[in-house]
Amino acid sequence: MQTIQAIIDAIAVGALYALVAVGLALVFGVMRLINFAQGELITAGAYSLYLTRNLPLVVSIVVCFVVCVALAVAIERVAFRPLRGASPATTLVATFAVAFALEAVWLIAFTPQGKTADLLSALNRTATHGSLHLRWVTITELVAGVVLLGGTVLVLNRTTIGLHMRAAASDFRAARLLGVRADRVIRAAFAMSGFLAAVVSLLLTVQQPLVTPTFGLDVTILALVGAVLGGIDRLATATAGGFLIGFISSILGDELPASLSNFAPSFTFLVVILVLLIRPAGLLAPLGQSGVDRV
Amino acid sequence: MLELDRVEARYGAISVVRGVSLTVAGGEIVGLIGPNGAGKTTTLLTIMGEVPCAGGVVRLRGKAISGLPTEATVRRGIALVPEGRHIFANLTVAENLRLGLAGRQSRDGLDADMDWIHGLFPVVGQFRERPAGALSGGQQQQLAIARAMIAAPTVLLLDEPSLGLAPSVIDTVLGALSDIRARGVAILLVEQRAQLIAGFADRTHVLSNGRIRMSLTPDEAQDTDRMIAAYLA
Amino acid sequence: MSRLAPIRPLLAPVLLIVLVTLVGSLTSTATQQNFITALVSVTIVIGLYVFMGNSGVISFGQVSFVAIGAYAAGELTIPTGPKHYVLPGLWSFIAEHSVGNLPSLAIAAGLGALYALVVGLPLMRLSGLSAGIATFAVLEITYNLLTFWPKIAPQSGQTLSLVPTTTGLTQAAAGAIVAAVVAFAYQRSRRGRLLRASREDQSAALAIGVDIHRERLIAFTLSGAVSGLAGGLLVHQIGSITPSQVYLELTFLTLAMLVVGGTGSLWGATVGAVLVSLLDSYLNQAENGLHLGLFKLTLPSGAADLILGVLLTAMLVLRPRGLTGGREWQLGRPRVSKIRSASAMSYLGRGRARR
Repeated sequence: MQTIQAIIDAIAVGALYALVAVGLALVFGVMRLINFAQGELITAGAYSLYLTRNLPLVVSIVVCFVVCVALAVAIERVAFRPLRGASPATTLVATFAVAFALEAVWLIAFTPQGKTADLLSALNRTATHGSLHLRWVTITELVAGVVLLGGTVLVLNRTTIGLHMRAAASDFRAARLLGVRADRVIRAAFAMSGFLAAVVSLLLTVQQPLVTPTFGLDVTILALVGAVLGGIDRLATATAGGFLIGFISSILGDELPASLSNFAPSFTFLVVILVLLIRPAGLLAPLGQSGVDRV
Repeated sequence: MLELDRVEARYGAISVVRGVSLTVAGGEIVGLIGPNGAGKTTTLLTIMGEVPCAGGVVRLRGKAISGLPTEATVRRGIALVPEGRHIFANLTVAENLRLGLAGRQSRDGLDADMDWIHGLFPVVGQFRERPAGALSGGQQQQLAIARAMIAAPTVLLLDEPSLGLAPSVIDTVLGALSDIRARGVAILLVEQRAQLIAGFADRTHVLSNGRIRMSLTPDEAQDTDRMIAAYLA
Repeated sequence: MSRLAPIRPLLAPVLLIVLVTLVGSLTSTATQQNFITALVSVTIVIGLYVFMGNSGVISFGQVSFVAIGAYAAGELTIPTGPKHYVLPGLWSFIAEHSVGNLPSLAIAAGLGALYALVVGLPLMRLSGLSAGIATFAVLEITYNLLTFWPKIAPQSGQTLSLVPTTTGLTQAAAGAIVAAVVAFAYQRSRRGRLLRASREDQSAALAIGVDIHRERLIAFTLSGAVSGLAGGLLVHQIGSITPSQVYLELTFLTLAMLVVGGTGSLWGATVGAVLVSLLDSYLNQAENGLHLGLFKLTLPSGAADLILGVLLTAMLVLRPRGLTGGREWQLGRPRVSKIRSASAMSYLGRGRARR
């Protein structure tokens, strides 16, 4: 029973990481840009939840979505649009710099001390079935993961902007030659990643209500590693990679003996290196494909 | 319809198009031929706004359009069928066609246009749900032209549509171009195969080293000696 | 000047290092630390440049070599007496030996090189994004081990202290110059040229028989040595070290220094390091109150990072190819503008069409 419990928990954590990975992969798809500032969107959403903690819950949640989407679109407009076409190293460092600056903003505005955002703490209650104890947030994470992934796929496959995003992801220049508007496609990708970040910050504050300036950083870095591990140039493989790394790190954290649990990150990243050596293009990429020669 | 007036383009310090002037009227096919590296593709990309126009001006119906971004150029009514077709291999044929709508100004008359395009290229309707990458080269070329026509352009630019196609397929493609011309579309056709185009187009310009060296009528185009001389110039 | 022409790319960075040293020697002891930090940063960034600049492959792992160098040099220079007391779990070999300043720097460089060689042997087969993530994994593992493995570092990420502070202005300058000379000698050597050729055109380099894996490994190892040396200088400057000082923030800052300066040249690496490091130091100082003639500037806590982040973003937006454009110093020579893609085909063909 304990194993089943651990597996269910790990699946929920995996779903959360998968959502972050989807956001990263959407932006990577249309811009070939690894957006490190994605983590700051999650942090921004969490702080907005803290600031609106005395407002009605619905208002608070709506504000969180507005903040994340607006910030995502604003970052693209101010920092990344002028850098389209610059070398991968330059754009990558630019996303670092933006994240760095935003983290300083949080530090100035909210001090290094954590702020409590526990609006959805009711989700921490457990639902018991036999000897299985499930927190509601676990179930919410699973449902949110499935619904949002499905929603993303629907947007991409069933809407015009989604079609344009897919075309831009496979050949941006050719898409523009057909009249696909680059600005609009990229803005849509950032807006969607902002939307997903809002969901992640809602769920993450349930698990760790204490919001610090680096709140969204760790989960983003690990999700990015997972996305590349799965294959970041495809939405499905990136998502699966994100899920996998969340799942593995959760299982390792639960199951490693106490003497080794400190070294869980080392084990995780050792696995990452081994996978990359065997499958440079990503664990789930089609056979015979070589690595994405970018960045 | 389309007018190039001493258009120039360069990559860095290298001048590639050096003062090209030409016009294409509605219902006309104008050929642009020349050896590799003559600046043919760059001329087309400059019209599209994909390569910045470094001098001179491009006009559409008398209005200057040089300096517009590519997407805006397409919306004004110029469509390009790029070299190598640039079909989206992982999208279906129908999705590729729908992408053509991105450059269309209004939906008026879309159904009629669709019917006409399906009549012109039956292949496109036949394989609607297939990934475009599964089509043969000739079918992909037809899809690329169909996709460009969905935007209801007044000017159609084609970059080496015959590349890598069997002679019978080339005939089909050229036949379709004649039908498109009959609709009043202005067509600028870039080719490396001079003899293929010179007889077919209303007028053919020979481009070499970024300049138009010679302009030929269909009759003159049969004169092989002149053609060779133009190429070697 | 003509006799100096072949070494001009070395001359400019060395002159800048000397200039920083001279200006630093005129300032107060407290301010002098900013200049020492700048010189140590130059060494770290040159280490990064030796690999990234020449190979064109991004590496997030370089700071692990700085970390190894810092811990090795630090632990080996703490006298054995107090060492048993502050580092009870240490491997007996490290615990029972102590060396002087210069040997500790040499060992730091050697261990940095060895670590880079061992890690690079498998990892240099990767390129692009996977190389970035794999080297990042090395950084994470190094950080994790230095935090939790008492045989090589203080327990649970505690500070390694009691390290003799022997890195003054002179030693920092000497270290930076050594790094610049090594980088210059390498990029002018046959090996370095082969690697730079593979950076410009990988398939062409493969076609003429360049063993890219081996060339990258050589550069990686060399950059590990320079980074290890830089770590040694760093620990001897501060007198202590914690794992988080040689982790994400330093990785980000040094990458930013290189890219802001211009990834492709030694001159760019030096300029970027000096500029960004001094900026960072002075901004941080301003949070505690900085005297500017008659004024005293005091920034709120966190403002330094904010300003730095915004300035870095602005510099990248305005000069995406770096302040130097990735060129070596070219005073008095005609500039040849670089042609990125000379044909329309490559212009159009860059979009990826997968079949």
